[in-house]
This record gives sequence, structure tokens and C-alpha cells, in this order.
Amino acid sequence: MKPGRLIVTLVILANLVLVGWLLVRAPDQPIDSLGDAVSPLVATSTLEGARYDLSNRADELNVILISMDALRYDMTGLGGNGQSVTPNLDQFATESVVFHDAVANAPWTLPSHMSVWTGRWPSVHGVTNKLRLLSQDQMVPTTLSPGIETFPDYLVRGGWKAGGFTGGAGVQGSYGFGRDFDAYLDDRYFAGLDYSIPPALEWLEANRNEQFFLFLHGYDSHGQYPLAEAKLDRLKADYTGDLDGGIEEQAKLREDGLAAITSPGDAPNLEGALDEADIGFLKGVYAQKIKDADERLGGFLAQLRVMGLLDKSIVVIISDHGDEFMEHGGLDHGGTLYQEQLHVVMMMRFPGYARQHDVQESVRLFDVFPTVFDVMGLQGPAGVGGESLLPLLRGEAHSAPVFSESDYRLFVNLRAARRGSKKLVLDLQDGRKELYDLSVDPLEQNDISSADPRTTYELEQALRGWMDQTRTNPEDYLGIQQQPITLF
Amino acid sequence: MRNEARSTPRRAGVRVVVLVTLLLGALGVLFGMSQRTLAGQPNIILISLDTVRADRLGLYGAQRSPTPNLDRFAEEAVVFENAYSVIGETMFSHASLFTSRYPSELSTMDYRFSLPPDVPNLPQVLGLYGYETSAVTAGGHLSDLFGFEQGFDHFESPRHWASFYDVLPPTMQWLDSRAGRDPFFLLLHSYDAHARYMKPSPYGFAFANPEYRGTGFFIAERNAGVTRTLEGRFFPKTGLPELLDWDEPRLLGPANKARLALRANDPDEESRRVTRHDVDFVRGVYDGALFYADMMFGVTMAELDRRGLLENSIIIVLSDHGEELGERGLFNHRFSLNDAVLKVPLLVRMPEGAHGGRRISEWVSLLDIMPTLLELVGAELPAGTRGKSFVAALEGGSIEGHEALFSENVFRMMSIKHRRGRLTFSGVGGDSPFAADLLASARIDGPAFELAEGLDESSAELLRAELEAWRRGLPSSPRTQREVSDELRSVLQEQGYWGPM
Amino acid sequence: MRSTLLGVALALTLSCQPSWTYVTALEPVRVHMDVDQDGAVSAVEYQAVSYRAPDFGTADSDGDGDLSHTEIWNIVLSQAPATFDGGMPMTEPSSMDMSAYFGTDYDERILIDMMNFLREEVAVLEPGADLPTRRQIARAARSKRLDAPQVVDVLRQLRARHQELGLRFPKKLGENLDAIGGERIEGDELEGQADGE
Repeated sequence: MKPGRLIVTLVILANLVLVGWLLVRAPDQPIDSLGDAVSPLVATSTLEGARYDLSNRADELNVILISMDALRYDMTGLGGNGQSVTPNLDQFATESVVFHDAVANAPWTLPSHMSVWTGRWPSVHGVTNKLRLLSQDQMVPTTLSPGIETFPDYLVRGGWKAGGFTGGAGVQGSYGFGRDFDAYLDDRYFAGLDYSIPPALEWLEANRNEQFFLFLHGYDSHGQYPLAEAKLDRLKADYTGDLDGGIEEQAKLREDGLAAITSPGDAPNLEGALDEADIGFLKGVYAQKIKDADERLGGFLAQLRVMGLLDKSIVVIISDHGDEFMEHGGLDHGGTLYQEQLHVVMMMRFPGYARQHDVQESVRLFDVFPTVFDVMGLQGPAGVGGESLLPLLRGEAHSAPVFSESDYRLFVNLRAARRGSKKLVLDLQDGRKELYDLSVDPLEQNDISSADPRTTYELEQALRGWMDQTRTNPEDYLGIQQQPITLF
Repeated sequence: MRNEARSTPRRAGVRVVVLVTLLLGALGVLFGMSQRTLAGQPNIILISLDTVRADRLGLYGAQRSPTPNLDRFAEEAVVFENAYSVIGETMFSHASLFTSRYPSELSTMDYRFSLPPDVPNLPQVLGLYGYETSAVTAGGHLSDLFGFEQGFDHFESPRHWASFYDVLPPTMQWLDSRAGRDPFFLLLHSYDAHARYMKPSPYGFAFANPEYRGTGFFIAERNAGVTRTLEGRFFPKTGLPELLDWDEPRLLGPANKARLALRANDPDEESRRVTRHDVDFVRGVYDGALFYADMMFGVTMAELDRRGLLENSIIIVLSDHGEELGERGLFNHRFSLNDAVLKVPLLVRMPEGAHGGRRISEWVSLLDIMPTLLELVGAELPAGTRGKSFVAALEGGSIEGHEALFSENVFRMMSIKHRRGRLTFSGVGGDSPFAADLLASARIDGPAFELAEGLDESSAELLRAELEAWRRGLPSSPRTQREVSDELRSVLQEQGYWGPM
Repeated sequence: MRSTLLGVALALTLSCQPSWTYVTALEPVRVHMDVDQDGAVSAVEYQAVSYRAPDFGTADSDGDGDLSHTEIWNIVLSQAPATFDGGMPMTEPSSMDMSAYFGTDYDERILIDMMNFLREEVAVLEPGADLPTRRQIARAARSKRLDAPQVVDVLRQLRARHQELGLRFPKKLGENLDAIGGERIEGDELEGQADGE
């Protein structure tokens, strides 16, 4: 071929490639990297063809929901932790769908659990604090509106047996949990699985031939759960500081942090009160509590297997929120929306599909029940915000907005939104915004909101649009009011 | 043989011509592209002509058109035949335009109004998506005194109550000296058509007799004080303060009317008769003002064309409100919610005049401008915008438009314009938390409601319900904090609840 | 060959739209003034529309008996730019004298408007009725609270009048009046939290 013709042919081919590429890419998006152009073509999930369809067993399968209160995802072995303190949980994961980026709807017990039970955002189900204002000077304990049906309510209505065995406090029945249950144990305050498992097993024994829903819960990992003295002493062996690791001290530290909030927009802050050694000690206490919780969990799961219930039940293990150890200046949980408080455990074991299936996409904790129901082919209550993750499990595309909120005891009014690895935290009291890129800054130390104002804007507007839609303005609560005239 | 001998040089000639044409074409394309930005986004130029009432323009049907330059622009633009503002005042109308929200949800409905910093506005969002933003306004109510500089990289008001004549030099200076290659959003604004109507000759009296000295001349020469005539009489001393009785819930309500009627009958009260000729004269002088503003618009277009901006810019021409010219005794533009005040010209010229001459009759609102521009640019809309994008109309497609249009003003009035007619409510303003409830309970045939344009009572009830629903859907402003009583505060604290409030 | 060239030239011409220039901007007023359509603007034609402007002799700077576009532009420039001084001094809003327009505080005004509105509904039907006066209303509004005794008093009177005349009283306002009076709002929780998604 003559060189001239060769050049012309090459030019024509190059043009065809260019045109083809231009036609393929979405016209309005600038190309930031080749990855942007390629990624939509690659499927998000890699597990082949599992259907997760248990609708043919909808009349016989049980549902067991286990909630390990205050268990941070990063304290388990699920993320590939070398020295895991949760061997039983990790083992169970090898038979489960594991959600590695599960986001709690709220960073503390009451609203988070209620979101899971109802499938609604906290400010939609309304149980966002333990008390609420009824009229000008009248405060009453909060309870879920009778007009809202929870997923367990739905099962009870359908004739299922239902039992709840909990550590009390934030999951007390008075808030709306365990309505019309055959048994609901909530008489202690911050009790652990050591308290709730034995009666749960008894109840299971009595109901093993019925179709049942079991809610098992314990505060073993929680700051308000007292670790045995002997174990505390062992941990103090290498620690020379002043802390004792007990629950009174933990409560005091928590309240001290909150006391630092004096103007709108302040965050809990224990500035300077604790040093590295103190934090290390407290985290050691936490790790030990988790280890114990995991042992108890392991024992329970083993019993399920022995009783032959494991393959007759869908077992869901979650945690409702995490815990902070000064990553952002405070202790405990509820007052911020950072990952140490929001990144939770969420896994599901389905009989007949018992092998490890990792899901990396962000999901919301309140997607738990819609997913379980969808797998069983059940309808569930209408008008909920949680969505079934079945498409995700089947390798199809699925996206849903990921928001979290906290109005913790009126000290804070925070909202957060996720979009991929980007996360915005919005403080409604002073309008302050923080943006983090979790893929490069998982500890959320580097606020990039001024560096990336466009994403900050987009996520803030997504939050505000969501708040308009769900009418979740804190103006509707105590503390911040929009109208100048009282009572109106 | 002869043909063959001649064919070779001819074929060569043809080849040369084709190559040269292709080269020229390529150069033209490259040159055109050099005016475009790297991202391929068009510039956006928004020209706001203050106080231009739609139906007096030739392109909207006026017989003796005082706006030939705008009429010509209409041939190159998409023309919206039924475009409405939400309020008849410059400051509020522009605030609404830039945020796609109703004025009452932005700030107080009086002259303490200012553009709130926490509501995303048009230049700010365009800035986030790569646009350089600039505004050269005619000052007055569109100045940084009211927060309008927010979101603009460059904001300038050469003088207050300015003409395009004042606005153009700094605009051109900015255009000529800008270094960046980013696309730009430019706001140009002028008060050329605003009262006083006596514009420079030969424009001012092009449509009226400069010798005429009747009451109409007196009305036209005055400033803002003119509001209305009453029973055929004009009161030179009756300006806004006199008409505004702070305790009177309605500007033109029964008590005020009674008071004015008394003055009409008072032989000592100075008043002048207003006749048909006077009203015609005022209209003629207003047309002269439009003629002048139209010429200034033509000059603006000349400066833009000279810089080659017509090929790669979207040019939007609109007015923020109209003007009442003696209809039902009303003048100026703040005191009613009629079409004369709210119906505005809206023309959008796409780059290179694409789809020019198209006319869209569906109802659109100035609230729709921000969603439209953001969609064109590929930006995400902020939450809480009230308008609907009409992009499809600019790209050869069709739109639905609005079924009903809502409006309000500072004189405690709000209105719904619907296919069936118009219903106006007055007595409490949009910023009152009681507005929706009073809308619901007041007598439809009472002093609070005005049924216009052939509205019967059952339709009025329907429109009342829609107006109420609209009102309930908007937050009352401004945001203030509730005072928590001491007892409640201690109860809260006891229970472990506290807030910094 | 020639037709190809012509075709190209035509296409190039048609693709260019006529420009906007100062001449095209000023042409309409020339046409408007040129009543006899002789292509020129004479002194008489100019005088017919001129008001407080340079006379023709001065305006026609090149003395050719016709006003060109440039000369018209200069006529315009020579007059004070028409502006509107809105009667408001352009100072900081806080220092503007608002008392002529808005003599009360935001909260007071909201209450005044609401009470006057309800008063007007009755006054129009019964002009001589015994109603709280406007002055009374203004004074009550100074409390800035809906549950202040003077405000409650006025509202109760107005509600009674409404009921007598068979007029509807705003529902929520009535409920609040009852609540203030010590009668609890029965039953339901705050709306909005229990409904829907």
C-alpha cells in the first residue's frame, strides 16, 4: 500500500474511533479520567446468578434479627482485620451476605432501631428522642404513632409468633418496639446478651415448630455495660493512667463532652481531658467487651444449629451504631455523624444461599426488613423509605439515597449524605458543611468542602430536597422554631 | 479530442476550488471553536429591561410598535407569549428570578428585604459549574444594598437608576479585559423604561404631543408618588404614605377608599380631573419610554455583536414587571396583581439564532428561568426551587407550562391566575404565619377577595383552595427563634435535654 | 463551475445574519420622525417630537438639513440621562426612614394584620358594631405574643362576632385560643410526623 493511502486510511480509522467514543460517552459529563468513561460498562456485583428467592418457603421460614448494640464495623474482622476479636461473627460471615458499607440511619440506639423496625427515616417515624413536646410546656415520652406499622407488626398480624429479648433502655417496648409480641423482655437497663440469650433460647425451644420472628439484642459492647472487674484489672495491668473503665466514669465523660456545647453548631468535645494512653485503655475495654459479645453470639448461633433452626430461619445480624473514641474529640455516640458512629455491621444468612457474598456498595441499615421480606416474597408495610437490596444481590444496578440524621437530645441537629465515597455532614444549627472523600480520607480528618464546592453544593441540596420531601425540618421540633408566634 | 484537451486544466481548477473552500470552511470552524470554551458551554447573557409591559410591544401585538429592535430580536429568538413575574417590584422580582423562589419565602415582605445568603442563587450555582459570573446593573433596587452581589464574581452598579448608556461602558470594559476562557454569565440591567417617562428627545414624545399640558402631563412628569386616580380625579398630594394607613389591612380597602372619597369631595383638596385624553397621553409617553429603552437595547446588541458574542451565547431578554397605565385608575406597578403589572416579555435567543421566531403560548414564569438555565448547563438544581424548566421549548420541543401562576406583593396581597380567571386576596402578607388559615376562613364575597376576569363563585372557591394550598406549601419567613420559657428549659435540662438555644 | 462558485458564495452569505449596529439601533427613530418619507429628517419633523432638547440648528451639526444617526445619538447624549429618583435616599437600609411605611416591628405587624383582618370581616357587614378598636389592636400587638391576655381578649371578641354573623373563624387560631384558656387540645399528636413516608 502506498504511504499516502496508508496515512489516509489510518486517519479515517482514527476518526471512526473518535466518533464512536464520543457517541458512547454521556454527552454532558466531562471526562475526568478514563475510568469515568469505562466504569458504567462494568457490572457492579461479581457473584454469578444467585437468585435469593425464598418465596416458596415463605410459610415456614423464620426470621431472626440479632442486634449487637454499639458494635463498630471496624472492630470486627469483616474488613479483613488481621487480629480479629470477633471470630464467631467472622465465621458466620462465610455463610452470609455481608454488607461492608452499611450506614446507620441514626448514631444512637432508639432512632436507629426504630428506623430498622419501621423502614422509615428517623424524622419520619418521629421517634428521634426519648421525649417530645406536646404543647407549650408539656413534655411526654415518645412513642411510635399507632398509625405506623412496623415490619414485625406486619408479621404478628400475619399470625407469626413474635419474641423480643433485649437489654432494655433504648429498645424498651414503651417506645413502640414489640407491640403485641408474645414475649418482650426489656426490664433491665443496658443488659447484655448474657441476660437476653437464655430466655431467648427457652422461648425458641417452646416455639420451634411455629413460624416465628425473634429479636435478640444486647448492650455488651456499649459504654454503659459493665465489664467484669477481673477483666478490667487485667486491662489495667499495662495502663498507668487514672481511668477505671467503669460505667459511671463513661457516663461522666460522655456528659462532659456534651457540656462543651454552648452555642449553635458546637460539637461534643472533651478537649484535652484524655491522652493517648487513656484512649488506648478505653479502646482496650471496648475490644474486650466486643470479644465477650462475640463469644456469646457464637454460643447462640451454635445452639441454633443444634436445634436445626439455622436452616429454617433467615438470620440477620446488625449493629445499630458505632462508638467514638476521640476520633473527632468526643466519646460515646449520638452527637456526631462520622464513620466511627455510622459504619455498622449488617449481614444476612439465607438458607440455601449460605456462602459468603460481599457487597461493597453503600446501603442503609433500614433496608434490612424490606430485603428480607422481598426475598420471602412478602409485601410489608406501605410507604417506607427502606428498599429491598435484592437487585444488588442479584448483580443488578441499584441506587438509593443514603442519609443519616441526629437530633441527639437536642444538643445537635445534624444531617449527612453519601454519594459514592463522598460524604457531606451538614449542621442545621449553624449551616456548617463538611465534605470528606472516604476513599482517601476514611478517618474524616480532611474537610474538602472548599476544595470541592460543587459536590458540597450537590450533596447539601440533595439533603435539603430530602428534608422538604419528608418534612424533616428540625423547625418542627423543640429547640429551633421557625415562626415567631408561639403555639401556631 | 478537444474536450479531453480542456478537461485536465479544468479538473485541476475544480480541485483547487474545492480544496480552498474546504480549507476556508475548516478555518471558519476552527475560528468559531476558538470562541467557544474548552467545555463547549455557551455564554449566558441575561438582559433585564425594567418596567417593560408585554402588551405594548410590537412583538406582543401592539399596533404602532415602539419597539422595533426588540421586534427584530424576536425573529431570532424563541418568544414566550405568556410569561409572568411573581411580583410587581424590581427588588423582589429579581430576587425571585435568581432563586426560583417566591419573595415571601426569602425575606420580609417590606423594604427591609434582602437576598438571603443561605439560599443558592443562579450566579452562585453557575459559578460552581465553571461559569465566570458578572453583573452590571442600574443600581436602585438591584444593588449590593440588598444583597444582589452575592454569587457574582464581578458586580457593579455604575450609578443608581441608570440607563444602558451608563451600564454598557463598564460591561464592555469587563468583557474586553477578562482573561479567562471559562464561559460567562452576564447580567445586564437598566431602568430605561422606568418612570419618569420623559425620556430624551426625540424618543420621549415620539408617541405623544409635547405641547399637551393636561392632567396627564402632570401625572407623567411626577416620580413614584403616582399611585391611583379615584373617581376620575387625580390627587397630586396623595402619594404612597397617604394611601398607606398602617392600621388599614388593605391598601385600597374600604377605610382607605372612604378616606379618599372624603378628600375627593373636599373643595379645598387640590385635585385635577382625569379624562380619557390624559390617560392616552400617559400611555403615549410610556410608549416613548419604551422607544428609548428599545433603542438602548439595540445599542447593547450592537456592542455584543461587535464582539462576536451572538454566535456562542444564549441571550435572554426579559422584564422584571410591567406597568399599569390607568387601567381601573391605577398607575405605576406596585399596587395590584393584574396582567398589566405581571405579564412580561420573555425572549430567548439561542446561539446563532437557532429556532428563531418560534412562539410558545404555554404559561411560563420568571421562576422557570433558573431551572432552565441550570438544565442547559448540566447543573443540579438546588432544593426548593418553584419553577419548571422550559428547555424543551428552546430546543424545538414542546412544554406543558403552568396551570396556575401565583403572585404576591408588599401590600399584603396575593393572587392566583388560572385558566378560569384570577382571584386576589388581600389583608395579610405572605410572610404572615396566619395567611393560609385566613385564606381558608374568610368570606369569598367579603372584603378580602377580589374576583376578576369573569370568575364565578364556585370557580372562586376552587381557586381559593389552590391559593391556600400554595400558601401552606411555602415556609413563612424570616426565620426566627422561639423563646423557650424558663420552666420548659428547666424541665428539658432535668431530663438531660439541652440545646444551645 | 460558475454555478458551483455562486452556490458557495450564496451559502456563505445566507449563513451570515445581518449585524446589529448603532445604525440599526437608531434607524427606527429616524424612520418614525420622517413622516413624509423622503428619507430625511427635517427641522419640522424633528420639532414635532422634541421637548427640552437642542434645537434643530444646533443638532444638525453638519448643516445638511437632515439629522443623521450620529447627530440623533448626540442629541440623546446631550440631554440629562433620564433617571428615576424613586423618592428614596440611597443609604443603608437600616438608616432608611421606614416609619412612614412600616411603623412597627415585624412581630407586631404580623399580629396587627391578623387582628385587623378579622375585624374587617365583621366591620364590613356591620359597620356600627361594637368591635375592638384599631388602637386597641395596635396596643395589644405590642406584646408580640399570641397568648398575651390583651391579644387573647381581642381574638375572643372577634371570634364571638364571627360566630354571631355565621362567619368562619380560622380553625387553628380557635384551637389555640382554647388551649390558652386552659382547655387541652384533645387526642392527636403533632401532625406531620405520623403521616406517609
